[in-house]
Amino acid sequence: MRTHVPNFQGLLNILRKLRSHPEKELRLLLLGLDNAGKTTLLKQLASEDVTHVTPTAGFNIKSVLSNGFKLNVWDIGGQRKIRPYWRNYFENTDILIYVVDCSDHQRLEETSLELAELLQDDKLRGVPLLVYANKQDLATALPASEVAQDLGLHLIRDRTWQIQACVATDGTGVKEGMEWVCKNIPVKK
Amino acid sequence: MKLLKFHLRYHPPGIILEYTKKGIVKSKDIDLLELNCNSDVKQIADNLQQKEALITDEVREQLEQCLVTLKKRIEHEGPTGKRFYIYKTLVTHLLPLTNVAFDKAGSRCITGSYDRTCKVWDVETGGELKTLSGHQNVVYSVGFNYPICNLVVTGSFDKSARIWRMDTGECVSTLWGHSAEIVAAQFAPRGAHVATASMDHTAKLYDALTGTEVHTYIGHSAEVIALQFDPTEGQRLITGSFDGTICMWDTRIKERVAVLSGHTAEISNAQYNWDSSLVGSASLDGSAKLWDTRERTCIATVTAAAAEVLDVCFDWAGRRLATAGSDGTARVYEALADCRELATMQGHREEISKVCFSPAGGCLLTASADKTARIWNASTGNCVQVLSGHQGEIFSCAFSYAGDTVVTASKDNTCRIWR
Repeated sequence: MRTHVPNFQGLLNILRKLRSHPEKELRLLLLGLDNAGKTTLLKQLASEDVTHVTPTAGFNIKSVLSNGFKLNVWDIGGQRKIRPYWRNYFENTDILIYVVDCSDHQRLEETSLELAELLQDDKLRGVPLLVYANKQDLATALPASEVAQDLGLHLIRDRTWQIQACVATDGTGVKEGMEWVCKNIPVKK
Repeated sequence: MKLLKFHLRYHPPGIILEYTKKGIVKSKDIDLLELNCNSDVKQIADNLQQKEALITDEVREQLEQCLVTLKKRIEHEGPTGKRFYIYKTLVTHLLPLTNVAFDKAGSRCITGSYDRTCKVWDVETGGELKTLSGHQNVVYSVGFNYPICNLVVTGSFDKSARIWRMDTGECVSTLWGHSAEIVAAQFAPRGAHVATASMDHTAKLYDALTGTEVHTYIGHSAEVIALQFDPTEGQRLITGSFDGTICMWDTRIKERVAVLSGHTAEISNAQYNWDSSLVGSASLDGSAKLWDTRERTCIATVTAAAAEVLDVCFDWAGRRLATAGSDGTARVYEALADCRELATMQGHREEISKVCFSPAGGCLLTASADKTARIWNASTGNCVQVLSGHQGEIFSCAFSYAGDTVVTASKDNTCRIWR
């Protein structure tokens, strides 16, 4: 059983992924509360086995090719105690992906507050936002439209955004979200 | 002139003569880089006596004693030498570790982390001595001021570097000026300066005492990710960059002294040997190169078959070069004469991200993504020991100066001390 994402590859690789990237390379930041499904989503994007995923203590990086773009996806752990460190990873982000567990009604407010805080950060100003309304396969999951309402997405004026219903464990809806990402790549300086 | 004392330097082997000249106490370093377990002590003593007027017949016996001690230090290590066992596991940081370093005595070790702190550990007890906090982002690079080791320098993704006092844990100065992440920071050998390398394509030199910027080294066309002072004087500096070149700088002037170009992809590391006559460089183009620092030319290129070379290092005497490959193979080359391959270390199942020699040079230590670190006989290439137990990839490792302790850092957020 592999409990980690295998292409971490040492410190040098972190520096390589940190580089200001050439035109066809993008930096995607994957955030959300713990147990939202970020690592599963990342593995799904990289077409890897998603049956054994454990809580992320730290982060995982993967490169995915999509529509001719190289997407460097940074998946950051979502546990409460490590959320203060999300800011470490904000620099040079091209697209922010926020993952929500739609079946977790109790923490909808919490996730909404975390997102609101992210959107106010200077380093993420104007960065396009994609929200994955995850776990749509569960009977108790709220539909994407309702989640959008709760997160207050309609009030966002300073960036483009999109909400995409998905099931990270089987990949439903994941591809559609990535297509939106490729269409909404910000123009590089 | 009168000789007062012999001082021994174990790694690399050497003798320091302390003497008086017109009432002033002076010292002179004599390198004995060729010393090995087959050396003839009498013959070396003869040579030294011929060359040095200070060494008289009266002290001849003492000199031989010193040479025997130095020789023993080299012999005690090697294939028949010690085996390492897990001594302490440091459950270090909340978030992933970055770099680790030992102080000269091997009694303290420092770790950098994504949790924005650097921690100081007591190797003996495994306890945490100090947490150096103040950086606003990842602490990536950590280092001591050798050989005194009363200060620590940290380089951070918050674009600053900081100098800290070891005893109190307070930040003495913050070095500002870079416009992107700092990924390498080092004290000069005499401790007067600190140099930093950054993702902003520049390197900088700071006054270690005041924290003011002395020079900015501009010239690289991509991220600067490796940096080293020459080990003896600290007057020269090399930087390795993702632009595929290594630059040489003189710390007394702002301008670039030389550009070593020839690699066709990003540099992953660049190192001086002991007397700074050579520079070894590793590149993602799959080759490692040796450069003559006076001629500023490439004197040898060695290639690993279809693999990236991720790290390079010299042994302490500067006579051999080791490379780490993404194919999981480490190699040792002769660095002085013909650059032939001396040994191949095969056994790791995944890439090796870090390689280093034991101080006496008998062993090679490698850290790999296959969750093990290995100790190899540096001359035969046989694996002496597999250090296993980490739950995640190992990306950093180091020997203490005495060679009796090893530290490994892993993606599982723990550091292990082996003795």
